[in-house]
Amino acid sequence: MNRKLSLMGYLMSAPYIIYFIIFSAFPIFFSFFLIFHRWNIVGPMKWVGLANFNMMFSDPLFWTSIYNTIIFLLIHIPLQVVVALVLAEVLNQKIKARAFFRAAFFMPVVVSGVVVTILWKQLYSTDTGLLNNLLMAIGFGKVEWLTSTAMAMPSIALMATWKNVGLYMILFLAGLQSVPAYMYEAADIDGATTLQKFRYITIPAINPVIIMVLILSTIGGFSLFIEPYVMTGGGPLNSTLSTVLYIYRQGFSFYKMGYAATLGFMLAAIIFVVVLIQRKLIEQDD
Amino acid sequence: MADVVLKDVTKIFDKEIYAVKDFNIEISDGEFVVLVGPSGCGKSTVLRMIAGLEEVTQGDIYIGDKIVNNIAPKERDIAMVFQNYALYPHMNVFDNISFGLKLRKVDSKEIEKRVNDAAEILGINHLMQRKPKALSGGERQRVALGRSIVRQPKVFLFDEPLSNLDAKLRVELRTEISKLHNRLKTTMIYVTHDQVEAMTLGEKIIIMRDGVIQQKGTPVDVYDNPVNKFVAGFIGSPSMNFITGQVEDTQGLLFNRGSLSFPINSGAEDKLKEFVGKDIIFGIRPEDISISGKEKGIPMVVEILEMMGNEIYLHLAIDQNTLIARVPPDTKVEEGQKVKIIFNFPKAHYFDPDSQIRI
Repeated sequence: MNRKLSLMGYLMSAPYIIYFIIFSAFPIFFSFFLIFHRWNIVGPMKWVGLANFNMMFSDPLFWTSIYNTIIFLLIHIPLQVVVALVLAEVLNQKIKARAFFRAAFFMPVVVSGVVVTILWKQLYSTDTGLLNNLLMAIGFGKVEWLTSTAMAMPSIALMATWKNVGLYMILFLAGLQSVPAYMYEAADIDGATTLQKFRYITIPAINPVIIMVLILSTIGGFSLFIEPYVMTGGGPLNSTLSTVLYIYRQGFSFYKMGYAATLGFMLAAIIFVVVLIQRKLIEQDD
Repeated sequence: MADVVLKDVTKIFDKEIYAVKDFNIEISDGEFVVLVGPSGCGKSTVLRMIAGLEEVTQGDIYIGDKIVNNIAPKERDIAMVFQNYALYPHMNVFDNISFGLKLRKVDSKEIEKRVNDAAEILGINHLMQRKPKALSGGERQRVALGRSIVRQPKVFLFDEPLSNLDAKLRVELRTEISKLHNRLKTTMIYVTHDQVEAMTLGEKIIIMRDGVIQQKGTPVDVYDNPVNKFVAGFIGSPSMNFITGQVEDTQGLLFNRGSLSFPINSGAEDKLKEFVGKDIIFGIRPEDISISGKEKGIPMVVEILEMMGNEIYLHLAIDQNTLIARVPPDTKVEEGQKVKIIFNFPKAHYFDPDSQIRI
């Protein structure tokens, strides 16, 4: 009876376990193995010890890609958190067509990233793009959204925010709705203004959601790939070369699988440390 | 310190549901008034309108001599204690209590002094650094009381503050609130569905039903002279016994309900004469029924005996009629025993079955 039951259990969980082994566990172990090798997929593997690490530390382009990604995060995360929180707060009020707006802001999240990126590439186009046409119509000059090194990464960050903000808005909305109404009533009677209620009641109450959103968008931001891959190819002058795009190139353009795996592990380590620091900084003790 | 006056106050929800209708009260400065009624009677809505958490549909609310209808809660100088405490979970006890003062930019030394004084009164000094979730229900409500005391408001509002506490704590905090009122002499308005709280706390109690005031008066007055059957049944525990029967005139008035019939000799004969031949509701409180030691009295059977320690509740029955009597603990009765009962007629009430009003 017991054996039958446990067999049944394994059977039921088998689809996920098989999926996990093939697509998560094996790649992790295999890429860890690759770190110490040189391999071009078709040829034999060659043990190189820590040579990949030496290469990494002296590879300026890798560090450029890290720098670019951090620039992206510094623009994208604050923008995303603030916009998502403001949208959630507004859509938590009793306003007309609330359900429509909630759905509308969430829509980009479920649209394919490639589709969104192609769309925005056209919006951003310097000569024929809608954005520049609009700017010109109201009397401004053209902006080189994707073709100047200064603007390209901020443009991508802006688009990424538009694409993902709906998801975080929904998370914040759930958080806001779990704040009981009587807490605001007590604060009303205590004499709090709208802003003070937001500062002293809302923010602490949704602190766990804020942490979650920060961590999720940090991890998501570090894996920036589709946008620069489709939009700019990492240019102009490598100004939008993200770390994942660089890793992809090392692996699948130059077939340096060992080196790509090394960079991948390095990125994972960086993400781990950054998230740890974030948690330490924001988490309240209670 | 202020009078609170409600003039023809009406609250309509969703354009058609009358939560409160033509509500009129005058609460004088320093008075302790209890609004009591079954759930859904509109008592909390009245309190929330006074607090400013709910808009007034019609009528005026005065605090002091100012109409406050369109004044924000924070400008009304009131403090409120909620049923679920409504403490700020991420702040410790000190911050919870002092939050309102900090927002009002009270000097920090003054804050410290007031918080300490309040904590002293409520016996919560040792809890200052704790978060609400590390407190028991009773402690939380003490903190909530502290939060309202330090503000030194004109009016205290209590919205069923003891309902979430267990019986023993409820009694303890009830006396605490009583003492607080004696000490502060501030106007207090207290909402509860518990008639025991209403009777013990209120200088004046207001009984509500379906958004309408049924009766206002001192607890004793309401208990002894209920205006209608609802009030008579709501106030008192166990509640008043009601028996519907017919008034007959056979050499003096007789209340006829088959086996539970008796002559009416309470001095109410004059008023009851016009009901001869009609139905009437006879009401008698459990403590006004006693077991007769003699042959005289109405025969009934003890169905259930509830020993409370200091008294006994007897569930009496004859045919379809049942009564509850409250008798001294040394009364010699057993379940199943046949007894004769006597009513204390001067304390009996009679109600018109149509209007439910006391005759």
